[in-house]
This record gives sequence, C-alpha cells and structure tokens, in this order.
Amino acid sequence: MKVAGYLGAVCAVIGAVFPSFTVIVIIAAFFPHLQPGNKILLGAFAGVRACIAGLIMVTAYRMLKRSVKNVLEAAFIILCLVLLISRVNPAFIIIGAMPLGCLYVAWTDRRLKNAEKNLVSASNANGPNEESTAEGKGGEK
Amino acid sequence: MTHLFLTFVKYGLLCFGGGYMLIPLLLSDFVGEGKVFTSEEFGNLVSIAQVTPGPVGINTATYVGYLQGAFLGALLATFGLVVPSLILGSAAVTGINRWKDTFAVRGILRGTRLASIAMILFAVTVFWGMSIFTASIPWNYLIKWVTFQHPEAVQGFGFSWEGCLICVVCFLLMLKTKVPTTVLILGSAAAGAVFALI
Repeated sequence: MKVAGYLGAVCAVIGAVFPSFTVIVIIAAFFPHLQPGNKILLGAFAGVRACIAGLIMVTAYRMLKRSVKNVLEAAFIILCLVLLISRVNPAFIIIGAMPLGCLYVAWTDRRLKNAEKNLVSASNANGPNEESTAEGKGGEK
Repeated sequence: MTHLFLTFVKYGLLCFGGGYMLIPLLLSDFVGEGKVFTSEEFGNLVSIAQVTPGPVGINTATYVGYLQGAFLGALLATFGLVVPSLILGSAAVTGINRWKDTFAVRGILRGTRLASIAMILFAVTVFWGMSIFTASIPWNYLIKWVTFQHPEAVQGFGFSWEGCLICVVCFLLMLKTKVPTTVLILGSAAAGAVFALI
C-alpha cells in the first residue's frame, strides 16, 4: 500500500501538524498564563477539564474492553497503575513492559503449543493426557 | 533547547497508543512543586490542546514547547514528538509483514499496550483530581486510612458535583451516541460557565 514513499510520509506529517501548530502558537502567544482571572472563563475551563476526564474515560474503557483478556493481564495493569500513582517515572514502566510482554507472549505461545500437542496425543491415545498439561504449565512458571 | 527537543523525542518513542499517553509523561517531568506548571495550569493547557483542531498529543507538545522556548521551542517540541513515529512508522510499513508475527514484536506490542492502559487510567485519576474533585486525589491519605494509621486531615480536598455531572454526561454521550467531540467540549465549557455564575 505504498502511496508516495518516504517523502509522502514526511509531507503527510507536515500537513497534519501545520494547521494545529499555527493555531496553538497563536493561542499560546495571546493566552500565556493559563490561569484566567475571569470567573466565567475559570468556570468554562473547569467544565472542559471535566469533559476531558469523561473523554479519557471513554478511551480507557474501550481499550480495557478490547485488550484485557485474563486476570494476569488485569493484575499487570493494576501493578502499573500503582507504580504510576507512587510517582515512578512512566518512561521506566513502558520500557519495563517490553521485555515482560515478550516473556508473556513466549509463555502463552508455549502453552498454546502444548495444548495443541496434548489435543493431538489425546485423540491418538483416546484419552486426556493430563499429566503433561500440568507439566507444561508448571515448568514455565 | 537541545534538552527540550530530546525530551520530546523520548516522549515520541514512548507514546504507544495515542495522544493521551503523553499526559502521564508530561506530568512526571513538567508538573508539580518547583516544576513548570501547577496541575491546574496543566489541566487548562490540555483543555486548550483538546479544543484546538488536530491531535491532542501534538497540540499539547506544541503548547508546552512554546511556553518553554517561544516559537523555536514549539517547533522543536512538535518535531521531536513526531520524528520517532515518522521513522518507526516508515520502518513498520516496509517491515510489518516480515516481523509482525515474531514473538519480540508481538511481545513488545502486548506489553506496551497493557502498560498504556495503566497510563491512561492514571491520566483519568489525574483529571478527576482537577474536575470532579477540587484537588488532586490524596493517595497518601487514602493509603494511611486503609491501613488504619490515622492520617492528618487533607486541606482543600472536596467533591464538585458540577464537575462530576459534566464528566458523567460527557462519558455517556461519547460512549453511546455519535455527538462530535467539539460539541461536547463547547457544551461543557458553556455548562461550566453557567455553573460558575449560579
């Protein structure tokens, strides 16, 4: 699906960024203090902050629903959240999540493979092969 | 200036999963006592970034960059945030079919996806502290309270029913209907202004 190559990517990014860049720079130049003294304006800002809280909640809810598949994943998210709340630098959390994710994927892959193998051997031997399932799970932990 | 640029390159590298991911990263570097913004100022900044057309993450970066180093700062921050994803994006387009099934790529994507959900939930708690509560959520107090340690009372922390109302209404409208974000934001601004007058 190559449309216009690398130059195309650069142009697309500049095109996407330029208008909002201009608008933001103008706003930042004329509204530098971010702390309006006007009561009505303060109220409006409080309203928008509440709205954004709602919008982020929607994003969070959709991501949770789509991505979290089991208790282990939920526990990992809670662990990350606790670390974030205790002011651990989020950069470390993202970087730390990468190798952990690899381990996790390797583990689930192997479990899947073992399960398939068991299924094959079970249908061959005409009976469930429980011992090797337990071994496959225990060995990885 | 170089520092500003590199900071945003770092953010660009770490922002898996969307613009809101930038909020916890910015919070830890720019917001708090002795740093650039108070949490209220930061909330207003993100509000402006959200109202302005364009991606929230990039708008926030431009704004922070402008406040840090005027026009050049805005340019460097925006550019810094975009460069890593530009390079990674191009790499992904050329290599995605070859690598997407390797366990390293799947593992990194899986791990960062789960971590970014935690980041976005954290962003939610931070914005609650600026909207449905009158101050950021006092976690230390809560921990002590849960563990029966008789904490000292927290000053200035309270519940704002106006904020809570706006937040819940926006959440439900966004989830259940197809009201455009801009309408929601303008409506909330109007509602907030009206509540302030009453």
